[in-house]
Amino acid sequence: MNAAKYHGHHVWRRFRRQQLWRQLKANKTAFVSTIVLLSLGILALLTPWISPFDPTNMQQQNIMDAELPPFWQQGHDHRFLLGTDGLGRDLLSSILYGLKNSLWIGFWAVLLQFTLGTSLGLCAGYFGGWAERLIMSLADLQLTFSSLMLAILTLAITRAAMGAHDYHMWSPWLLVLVLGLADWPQYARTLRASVLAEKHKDYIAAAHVLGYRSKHIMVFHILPNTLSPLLVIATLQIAHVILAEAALSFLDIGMPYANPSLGGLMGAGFEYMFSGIWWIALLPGLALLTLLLSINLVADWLRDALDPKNLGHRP
Amino acid sequence: MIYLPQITRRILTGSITIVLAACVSYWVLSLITPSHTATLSLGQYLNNLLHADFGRSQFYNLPNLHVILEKLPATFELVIITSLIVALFALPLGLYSAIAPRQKLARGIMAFSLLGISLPVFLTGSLMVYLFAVELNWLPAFGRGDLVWFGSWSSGLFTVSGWQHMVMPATALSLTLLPLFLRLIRAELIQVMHSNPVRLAQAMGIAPWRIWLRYGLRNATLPMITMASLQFGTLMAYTLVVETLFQWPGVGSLFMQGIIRGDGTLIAAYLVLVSIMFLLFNSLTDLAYGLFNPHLAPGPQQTQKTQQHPL
Repeated sequence: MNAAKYHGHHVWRRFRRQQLWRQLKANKTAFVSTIVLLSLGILALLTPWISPFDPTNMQQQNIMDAELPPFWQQGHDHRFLLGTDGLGRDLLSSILYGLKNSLWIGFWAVLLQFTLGTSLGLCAGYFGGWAERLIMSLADLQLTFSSLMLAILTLAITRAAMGAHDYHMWSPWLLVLVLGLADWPQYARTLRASVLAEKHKDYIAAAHVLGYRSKHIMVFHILPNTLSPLLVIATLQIAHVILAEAALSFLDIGMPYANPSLGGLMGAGFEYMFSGIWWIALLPGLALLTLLLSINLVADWLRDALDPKNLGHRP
Repeated sequence: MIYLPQITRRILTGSITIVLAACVSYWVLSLITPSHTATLSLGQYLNNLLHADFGRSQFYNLPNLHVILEKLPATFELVIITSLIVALFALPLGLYSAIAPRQKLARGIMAFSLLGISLPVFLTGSLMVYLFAVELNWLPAFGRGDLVWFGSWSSGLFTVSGWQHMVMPATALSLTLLPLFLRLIRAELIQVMHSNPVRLAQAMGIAPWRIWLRYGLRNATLPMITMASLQFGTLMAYTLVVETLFQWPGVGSLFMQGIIRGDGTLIAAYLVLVSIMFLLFNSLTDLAYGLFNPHLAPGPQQTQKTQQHPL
């Protein structure tokens, strides 16, 4: 117990002494956006326990509570802090659950992209030859189509083929699958370039002489030394995937209305705006904007901080 | 490897791609309306496409080509006006923020571009609808307004109401692409401004505006063409969203309605036409690339690969 405590303390101290932490403290925007992003992540993780209502539970919604305004406007109800939507669901709970769903899809889709792009890029850079040519021409082909257009076409056609009801049963998994498969070339291209620069260095030759297998060298020797640009891409891609998912849900080919994401909430609230009820569409939009902006700012800072060119210039 | 002339190779790969897209759209058709493909074989379908017969829409009960061509001018005008807005704003703003990166205004432009990247197009659209259409009642929120007909081409660019209807969709759409191009131009120009040829030109006493335009912007054209060809698909995807949001009667909203109605033949026809459009646009950007890149002289010289270092 005591040893674990000491160890934890030790790790924290080591982290605080690192370059990354010092740079984070020096950059005010990055510091604030990291804190915002972390708190949004914690909120999303704790959603089932802290949200006042469960928007997926139809027992808790009452149509008589529909279209109540948020707390700073006249006619609000103290039970619903941010007002209610057209079905009488609490908007705060819906936003929290939407945040959870958006981050969930972003995380798994980026994990899929990362795994796929990294393994293909490693193979292409390390083995060369026909594997490299095949993988890279596939990547170029994929890049000419936009990933968002590809996702919209695929999911729209799947929806038309399956019917709305069946489609919405599977849509979270379909979203992860399609958004994950649609955007791997960036990782592969970046990683291939850095593997090509890395694989003729002496420590790789030493590993060969020591008799390590190719797989071991690729994963434990080359990958750790080429990881930092990939981390930046992955961070940016989380924002990209969340944005794409929101657009898909807005077009009603994403998450179902019974278990909405932030984009789906906005899509459902858009019609109410014409009667002056702006909060159903715009409050989830504000949450989405905060999330995307904080991810983009963190990614921007991470790119500068992990760039070896910048290491000498900063204190 | 067989070496074919550039143009032959391009036509060959293009036609293969179109045949592949047609096969995919036949498969999609068989998924959505199996009863339709029961009487129509793949060969017949391809033969029909060759004779510009895209089938009949089940909802409109009209030839699909007719339905799509009727909606095409709306999308085309929206995309053209959007590209004009992006070009008009991205060039001067990018130039300015590259020349004076430490000025307050330049920092403001960069902050705006970061905000713009994070701003979803449907959020800007919703905000504009709420502000300008619902609260202030300045601009109409949906449709195209009064149209002028030139033969079968309907244009909204010749009436006041047409322009009023154009403002919000085109602004929302251009706000998605503007930050990307702005950042690209700025990054390119900053790099160019620290290069040796520019230092030489400055030392020779050439006027600054001449350096910016002739050395700076000219060097930024190639990355911009690359970016344009890469972002064309994204623009089409966002056009779909914007058309749905503003009920713009274009091809994108036609496709989304077709999805909701389960109109299989229309969806299949849309897929074929979109792949043709992609090909046309990619060939166009390739041509532009050849025109603007001094290393890639068009024609047979390309095989010699006389790439020289710029300095």
